[in-house]
Amino acid sequence: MIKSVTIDKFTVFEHVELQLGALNVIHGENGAGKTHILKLLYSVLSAMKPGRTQGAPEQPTKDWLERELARKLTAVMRPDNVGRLARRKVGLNRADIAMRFDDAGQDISFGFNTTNKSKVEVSTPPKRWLESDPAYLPTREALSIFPGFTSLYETTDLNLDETWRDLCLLLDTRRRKGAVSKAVKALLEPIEAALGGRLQLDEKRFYLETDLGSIEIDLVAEGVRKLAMIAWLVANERLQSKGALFWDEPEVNLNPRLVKLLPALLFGLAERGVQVFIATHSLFLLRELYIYQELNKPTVTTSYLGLHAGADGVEVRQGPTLDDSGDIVALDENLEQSRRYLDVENQ
Amino acid sequence: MTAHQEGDVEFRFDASWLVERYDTLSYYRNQFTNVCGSAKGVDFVAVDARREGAWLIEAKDYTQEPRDHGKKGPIENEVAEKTRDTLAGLMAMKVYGNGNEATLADATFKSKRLHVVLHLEQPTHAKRGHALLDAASIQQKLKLLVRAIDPHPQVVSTATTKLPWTTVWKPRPGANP
Repeated sequence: MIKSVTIDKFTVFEHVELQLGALNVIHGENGAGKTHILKLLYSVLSAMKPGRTQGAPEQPTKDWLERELARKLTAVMRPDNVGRLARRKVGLNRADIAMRFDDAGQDISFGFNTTNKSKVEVSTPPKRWLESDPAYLPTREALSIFPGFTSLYETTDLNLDETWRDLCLLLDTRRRKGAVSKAVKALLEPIEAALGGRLQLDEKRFYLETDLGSIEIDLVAEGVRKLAMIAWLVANERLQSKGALFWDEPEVNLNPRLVKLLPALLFGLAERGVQVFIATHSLFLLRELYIYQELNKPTVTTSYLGLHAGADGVEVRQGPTLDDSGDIVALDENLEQSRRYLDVENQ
Repeated sequence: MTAHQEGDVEFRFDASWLVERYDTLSYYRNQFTNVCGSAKGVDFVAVDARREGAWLIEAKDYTQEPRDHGKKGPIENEVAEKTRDTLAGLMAMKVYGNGNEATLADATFKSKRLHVVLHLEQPTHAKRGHALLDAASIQQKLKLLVRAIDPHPQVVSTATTKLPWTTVWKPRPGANP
């Protein structure tokens, strides 16, 4: 599990230090850097779990990591080259990232200059690879593009970032035969009840198996597909203990009835040892997380990170509760809209 | 029991409590309202007998007329500012207030906790021309504004139970039902 991250001069950040927990909730305005944080951390974890990548050495080496980190950051964040991720200013600038883990043998730090194109400079390489894959879920679902996507991605310039390919690789694993563990069952049951069925992968296409028969996944609502996607990753056990889940705006395309299912799922995954990161604009989801936490008292650590525009780049306010993370844009806008609505309604 | 009427709501406190209508106290009205140009105050300051908590209570009754936001601004800001000004006023009152005022102020600062409460009375249902304020959002924002004073401020009404005092809907003579 990542314990903390120091980010210097990276995209919109001048200097921030993030203290992380098992469940991490990032909020802030558009352009505040929420997705940048998710993608940065995902890229580093992905480079540190190179099972799928050809040519990785048995143990981490500086040289291999320097190339792979640059490649992954470029493929995930899609700048022209890695150097362009350093904070923009006139002249040369240097970005530095340091990540500390529960297992200090996995600590890593690296940096790069604006002139770096295909390599970063690793100052502290990890001693061991990570044990489990990270998963990155974009704001939209991937089940409908899944058939043939991975090979298409490898052979065509699709103008999509590499998280889509990585996600399709994780989806391309069938459920294990036989009964699932109690913990997995507890996570899946409420989701499958809401979906009205369970997902099946038949050859290369997903279907929702319902009481009325199987339905092609393209024919079900987008919100259902999105929830089915994470249910599949739970069912096929690609979201494993010591892994990490990065989920950008999980609330997108979900109706409030489905959003209410997310806290139990997110805390449940965290309790199973998956470090969870979400970025959200949704006051509804933030409140559902609060309600779940107050009623169920989950034992996992939480970190709420509010990203706020400061005099010199984006600043972070953070702590174990939402109230520690500063103003909530979604709340301010909700109140402001309420007042405008009341003014019109009460005329 | 001591009872205080605010709008159409009667607040009933146990007789052992120290309760004052802060905004009617002479030190506040004659001395403190002009501090820094203008200082505001909450409606009630109430302290329980064991000094477990001091409660700063602002009461708003929008059952008859909705709030005019254009004129008065956000209600959560008003409560937060009144809370801050009241604490400053109580500090000065502790030193310069008359007997009752100094006793109340002294009891406030001897209390183990400070509580911020907005008593928000609204119609049971919204209707055309009279929409309802969003109490959950107001409480959540108030929590961010007064966190250093009370990390758990409350927005309550006569429908709220589990408060250490009771409130009763009691229309004043001549008020609309």
